[in-house]
Amino acid sequence: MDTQIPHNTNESSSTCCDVIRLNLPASFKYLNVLSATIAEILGRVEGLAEADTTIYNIQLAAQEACTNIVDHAYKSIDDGRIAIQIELHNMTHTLVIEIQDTGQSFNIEETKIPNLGTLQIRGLGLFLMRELLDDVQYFPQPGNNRWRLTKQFCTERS
Amino acid sequence: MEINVTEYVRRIAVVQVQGRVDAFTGPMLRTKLNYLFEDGVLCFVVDLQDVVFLDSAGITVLVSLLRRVREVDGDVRLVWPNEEAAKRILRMTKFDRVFVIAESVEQSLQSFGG
Repeated sequence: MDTQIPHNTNESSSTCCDVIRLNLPASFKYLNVLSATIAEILGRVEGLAEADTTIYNIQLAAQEACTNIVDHAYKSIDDGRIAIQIELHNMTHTLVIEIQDTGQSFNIEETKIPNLGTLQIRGLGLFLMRELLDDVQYFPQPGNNRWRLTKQFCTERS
Repeated sequence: MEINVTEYVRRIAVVQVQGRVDAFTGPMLRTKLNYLFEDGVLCFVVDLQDVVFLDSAGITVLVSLLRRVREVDGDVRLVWPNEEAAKRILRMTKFDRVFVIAESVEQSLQSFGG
């Protein structure tokens, strides 16, 4: 079972971005590796505005996507892997995270919207992703599902 | 004259949590909380002050406990995390309307009448 992020997709081929790739076992215990990587990458952005909050929000959104993959895409698969590509676009101040799995797809349109302020919590992960990021896309394809998460950030100069 | 005195002692568990509360660590917290609940504790103060990261899986653990204890007239009260971003998530998801959230353990205990 191979899990790879396809190269040369639109902006991915841009020369003005730093690209970091991870390939993690689809296990909750490695989620903090992704969090740490996001923090390290954004820690290299000079003058990142509201750094702690920005980093936290992106970490949380990315973690929700990975949790969804472990919980659902690889529900009945023990040795799944998650391929992650993080692109830091320095010119446009944008972070793009592509997350790929080879498990089962799901219909994002059927995800419940949480009834906030109540004990109904289904769909909370996707709600958080959409609230915290500028764009959340999911491309379902059995054996090659992809999340594309986009967040623009500000710097003290922008 | 006959005087009957009945004293009731209400158990309140203060559960201090540190670090990340997410899909990996959440089950450990769930196990601990369930153990206390099954041991008869109905009132919980979950101190999130030292929680640095809280995701939907972590929130789910707290909500699951709240559902169980409210069925038996118990409650789960929280102490705000010091981490501003985590605090903001609780507000964004409106869980500050679901849980009574205090600034300190002492304040939370007082809200239980302790």
